[in-house]
Amino acid sequence: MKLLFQLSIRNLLRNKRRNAMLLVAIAVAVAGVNASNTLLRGYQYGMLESAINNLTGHVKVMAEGYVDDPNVKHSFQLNSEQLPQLPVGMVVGWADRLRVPAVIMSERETRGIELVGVDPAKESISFIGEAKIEGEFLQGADDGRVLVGKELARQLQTAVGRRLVLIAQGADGLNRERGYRIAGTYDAEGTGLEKNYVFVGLNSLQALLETEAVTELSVRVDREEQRLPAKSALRAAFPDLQVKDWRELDPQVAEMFKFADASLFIWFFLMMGALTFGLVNSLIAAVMERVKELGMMRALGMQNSTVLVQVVLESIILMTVGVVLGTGISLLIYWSIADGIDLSAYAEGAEMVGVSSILQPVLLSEDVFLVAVMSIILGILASFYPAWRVIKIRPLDALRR
Amino acid sequence: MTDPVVICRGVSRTYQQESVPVHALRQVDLTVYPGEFVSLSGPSGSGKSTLLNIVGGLDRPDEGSVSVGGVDLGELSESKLADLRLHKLGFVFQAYNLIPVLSALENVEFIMQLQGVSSAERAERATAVLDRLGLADMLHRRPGELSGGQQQRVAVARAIVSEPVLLLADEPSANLDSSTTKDLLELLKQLNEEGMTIVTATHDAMVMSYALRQVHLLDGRIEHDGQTRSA
Amino acid sequence: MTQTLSLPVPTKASKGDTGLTWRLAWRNLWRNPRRTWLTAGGIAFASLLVTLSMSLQQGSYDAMVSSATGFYLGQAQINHVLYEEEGKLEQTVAPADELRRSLEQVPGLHVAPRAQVFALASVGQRSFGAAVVGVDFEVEQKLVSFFDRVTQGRLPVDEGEVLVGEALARNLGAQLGDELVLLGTGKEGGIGALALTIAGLYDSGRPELDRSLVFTHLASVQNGFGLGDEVHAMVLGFDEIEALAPNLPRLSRGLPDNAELRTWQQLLPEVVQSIELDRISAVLFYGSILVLVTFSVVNTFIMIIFERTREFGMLLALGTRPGIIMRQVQAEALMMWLVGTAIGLLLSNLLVGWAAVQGIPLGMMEEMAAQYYMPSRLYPAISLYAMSLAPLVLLVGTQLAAFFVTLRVRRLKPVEALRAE
Repeated sequence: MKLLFQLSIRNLLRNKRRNAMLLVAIAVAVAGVNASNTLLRGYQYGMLESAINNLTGHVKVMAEGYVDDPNVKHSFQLNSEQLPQLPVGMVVGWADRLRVPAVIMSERETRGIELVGVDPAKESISFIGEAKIEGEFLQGADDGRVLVGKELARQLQTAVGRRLVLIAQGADGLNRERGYRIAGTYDAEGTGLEKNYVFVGLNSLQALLETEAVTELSVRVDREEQRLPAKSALRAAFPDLQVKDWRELDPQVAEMFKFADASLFIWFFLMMGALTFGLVNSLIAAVMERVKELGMMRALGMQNSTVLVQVVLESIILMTVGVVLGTGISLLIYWSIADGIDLSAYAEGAEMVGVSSILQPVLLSEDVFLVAVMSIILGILASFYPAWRVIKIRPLDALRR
Repeated sequence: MTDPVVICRGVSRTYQQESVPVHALRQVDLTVYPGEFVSLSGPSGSGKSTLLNIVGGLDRPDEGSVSVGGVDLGELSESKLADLRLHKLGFVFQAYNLIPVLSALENVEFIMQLQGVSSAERAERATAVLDRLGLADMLHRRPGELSGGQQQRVAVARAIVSEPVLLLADEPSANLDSSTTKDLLELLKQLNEEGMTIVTATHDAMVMSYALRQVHLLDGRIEHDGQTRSA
Repeated sequence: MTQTLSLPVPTKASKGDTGLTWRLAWRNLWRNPRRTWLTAGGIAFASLLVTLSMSLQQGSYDAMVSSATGFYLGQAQINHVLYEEEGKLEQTVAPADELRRSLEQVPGLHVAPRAQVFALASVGQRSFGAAVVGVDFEVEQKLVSFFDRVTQGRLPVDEGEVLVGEALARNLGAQLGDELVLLGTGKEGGIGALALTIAGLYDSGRPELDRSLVFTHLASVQNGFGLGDEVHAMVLGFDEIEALAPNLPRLSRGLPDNAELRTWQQLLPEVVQSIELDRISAVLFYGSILVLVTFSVVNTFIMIIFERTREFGMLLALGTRPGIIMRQVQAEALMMWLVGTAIGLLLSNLLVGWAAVQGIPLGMMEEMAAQYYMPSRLYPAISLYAMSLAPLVLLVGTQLAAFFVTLRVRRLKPVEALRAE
């Protein structure tokens, strides 16, 4: 085996220019695929984060009929710490909310919005927990003030500390009206959320609407795959309620998520496809120029299988070096953009496709590994055929060429 | 008399050259005993190279039987033939004898590596045989750095290092000038005197003159098979 | 390995030799068919892929713009200069009728006036905030597809009727025939009110619109909220969107002082931006493919030069200038490019032609597509730019590749070269 390695390496060194060029091409292809994978994954996971942060969470519990008619009559009672025992570490956090459509009025303007009664301490699981706040965040579930989106405040021509009137429908079907002071405004990096959601203390809203119920329980798990066991556990704990995961609540994002996976594969094959032409050319040439030499070795008594292994080994060594180089380069690229790519110039467009304005690349070791392994397999396949062809020639005929 | 090294009986070989059948060998019988130095000669197309190749297990006869070192070649598969060539035979080709990326020493070691000989023993034996052939200072040179004659010597060294039962040389002098040829032939003569059985195919008169037994072929048949000197 | 040339190569450049150069280049290509096919194959692959993608991309952008502008906002709008920022009821465009008639002089242009007021919409005891939009339904249907989405009932025929979004109707517990009361603030400060019969329900596919927009006749809104001959927006749309840009100067003239014209690029920045983002990522994609294929060409020429070193040595020894040899190799590179590009473009054009007729169904992505203003079938654009960019880039790439690899020929010493294997 050592002999074969020695032969392979020395043969590779025989054609330094050609093989150097090939190495560069392989490295570029691998680096390109890995780098774009990190961006694609960043987009994919960014979308996932956005969807989950958007008050959806990984799994949600709601009353029947709420999705079609988000009225406070489609609500349920939650006995405080009733969350079922889910395996340790699975649940990152959960939040119960009372969410209803409402009308908000300032001195100058009126708008239709969604009013969300929350317990601020639990909202680390959604976007509002991380948003930049001007003024003050809500101080607790009893806080009787509101938190308004920056863009909405602008449209209403109001500011922190001023008063607003909120009108919402109570459990009996009649409207309730009350004045609220603005505790603070939030910046969600995209105007869609800001224009839609107004936050208030949960208990305060329940008092206004004369109910003790909530309209949703949102749960965030540690890893995305855990949504399934979490869903089952929650279904068992709340048999009369609807339990859905984010994929069911946001099917479009779920489709895009899957589509991104498919894109990764397609992209890999296209890049490798472009590489293959040059690769196969080089490998065939490398084998064909050695027809006589290989014939001679077989004449001296080397087994055909040994010759085959030696030729394929050459290709494996070449691909491995190229893959290592390429992976190294892609790691460098990744680290240089690891902080995220600023898309704020494209904020509205980014929002439309469902990502935040900073694209954070994601490096998955499975992706890198898969690329490496598949590239090497490509190298094996590409050299196998010409090597096999050469062996079919009888040593005698090979020598005579 | 000891057992023959090579027994060919009724060997025929025909191949197609642009849809014209060429009868390279017709019902050839040949027996070679240990210690002989045989030359196969004749005009081009006489079948000498074909016969050599068949004896060496590189080609198969269409009719007849061949046995080398007591082993019937007809029974052997391709990979068994390769084993035979590896362990029992030594080859010197007209050109393209050596692996370009290995040094002279490594070229000689190459065969032993395939045979599974340990690394220490390999190095020792290879150095010894190259030394014996006067190539002690060429050990680490690659074929590209050696003259034609030196390359052939290295090829001979490689051919004999595993003490094969038979050394086969196909037109060994074809790429060499006359004085280098003479050196090579002196070497072969010396090996033969030490007991090596040699069969060579050639059209070079000088080579023929060194052989102790000259077999002349014409149109695929042995025309004359005679000793020039006593064995 | 012996190399023979089938034709003599001229030792100095002279007129009438170009035919010889090309013939020789062609024959040299086919000395090693496998290598030529693989290299040309790579070029074909890249040009097929890139030209096809670019055509589809362009087609999808065109479709997106058409869909987006044809959905609700139109190709352009005329509004009060402060309306976008502040959206106040009194920020109107007037005199509306006169302006509309003058705009309608422009051939191929449709003009739809809209007046919009925020109000409290109630059916029975339940009420919600909504925006009531007064429109001219007939003209609107020529401009936007929004009013084709009636799911129950029909469009309002007189001033007493209203079209309500399904989501809002659900929230209000309302049905066809119910009375919808709209209460808001009028222009002069008093109460503005309308009582309308629900004539139809619509589903636009965008819940945020369905929940908040109700539509009635323009006159109802104007009368109910104290507006005279005023509107908040004149929505403009040409039959062919390409007519918009050349007509912009004409449209901007004759506008009242306090009004401005905004094009779809300003109305729908998300469309402009997502197209840009997509373009950028496409450039990265195409760039990588083209770079990789150029590498393979470099590789091929390295092999070619190496193989023909002896032959070049002989030519140099005979007195040929290195430049001639280099030109010969460049000609071969050109031929290889030609073969590859011809195949690639042929396939690409066939596919684009087929897709232009059939359209490519988006399948399960249809719903998602609707969200992004995409139609359910994707048609490629027939564009010279899309078809020619990749081949041109490849041409430059392959010529450069051949050039740099062949520079070695300048340093070749004939005698050494002849001895090379």
